[in-house]
Amino acid sequence: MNDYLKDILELNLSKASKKSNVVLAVADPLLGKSIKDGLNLQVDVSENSQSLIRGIRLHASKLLKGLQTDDLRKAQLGLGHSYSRSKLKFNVNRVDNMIIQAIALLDQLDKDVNLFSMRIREWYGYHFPELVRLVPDNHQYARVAQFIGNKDTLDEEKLADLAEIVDNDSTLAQNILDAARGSMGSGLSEIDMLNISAFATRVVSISDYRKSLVSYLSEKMNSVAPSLTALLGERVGARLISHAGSLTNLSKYPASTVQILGAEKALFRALKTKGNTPKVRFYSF
Amino acid sequence: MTVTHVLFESASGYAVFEAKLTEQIGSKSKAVQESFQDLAKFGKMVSLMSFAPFKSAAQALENANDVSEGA
Repeated sequence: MNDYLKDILELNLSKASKKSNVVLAVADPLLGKSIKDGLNLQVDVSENSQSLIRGIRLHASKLLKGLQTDDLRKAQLGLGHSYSRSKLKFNVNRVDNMIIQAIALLDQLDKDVNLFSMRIREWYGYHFPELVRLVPDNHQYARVAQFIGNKDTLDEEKLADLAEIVDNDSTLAQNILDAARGSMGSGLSEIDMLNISAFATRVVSISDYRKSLVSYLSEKMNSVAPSLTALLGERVGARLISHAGSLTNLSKYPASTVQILGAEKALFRALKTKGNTPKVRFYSF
Repeated sequence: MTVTHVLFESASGYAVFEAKLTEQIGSKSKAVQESFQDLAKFGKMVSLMSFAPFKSAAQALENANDVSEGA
């Protein structure tokens, strides 16, 4: 309980309470309870006192002598501003906001890279269908497609560079060259090739960006929530934070809430149908 | 339980009022409710005991925080 308020109440009510029972009307039940506990006063928060307080609030500028009409309004405005500003300052934990954004972007990028990779496989597949089986990895496929371009231009001279792209696997590089020579894919005009390779470049750059984002995220997680990161790893930890809204929120959650984070849908469905609630949804990704 | 005092926490300070003529049973009646609107009548029901202004904006904010959290 606030000391200033306590002093005021003690000063004013101790004399009166000797003579007769004092019942104090208070607007807020929570505040009333702490006054009751702190000062041993009888407190009333019923509708009756609410309406009394409403009346006082209505006539406050007249009842509080010595105050100008505008003074109260100015004070309210000023206090309102600084109150909400202080609330905001409390909420803007800048660092974990960055994490929440980063993990959301990472999820989006994962989706996008997958989607684009499928597209480039299909598109470049018209030209060189055998490559899909030889290079199953998405990122590598885009880089190889970007490097080869027109399959007819691939020859022994480029073999070393090609091997470098496919993790220095010279056998695979040789296989790709053989496949290119005997490929059943159709030839493409220059302008088609240009577009395909522009797209391949874009896919490669997006997936490179994704890698740098992952390292950024893990660096952030290690500095913001080292213990959480050590326990769960960067990505699961970041996901938990983004689910909870902030690191502070997450740290205040009871175990039972953390346990079903991510299974809210199943939980509410179970509650609605009176079925079994989910027991453990340990965040798995 | 009849209310004898009222705590009013305004933006510029705490005020303690003494309440007189409070009506328990008829408080919902229209006449009583309307008397709240009228300063001449309402002024007889409450009288200011003391008003403790906040000394600074910082103190006001501190008190507002405490009041809003019920502490």
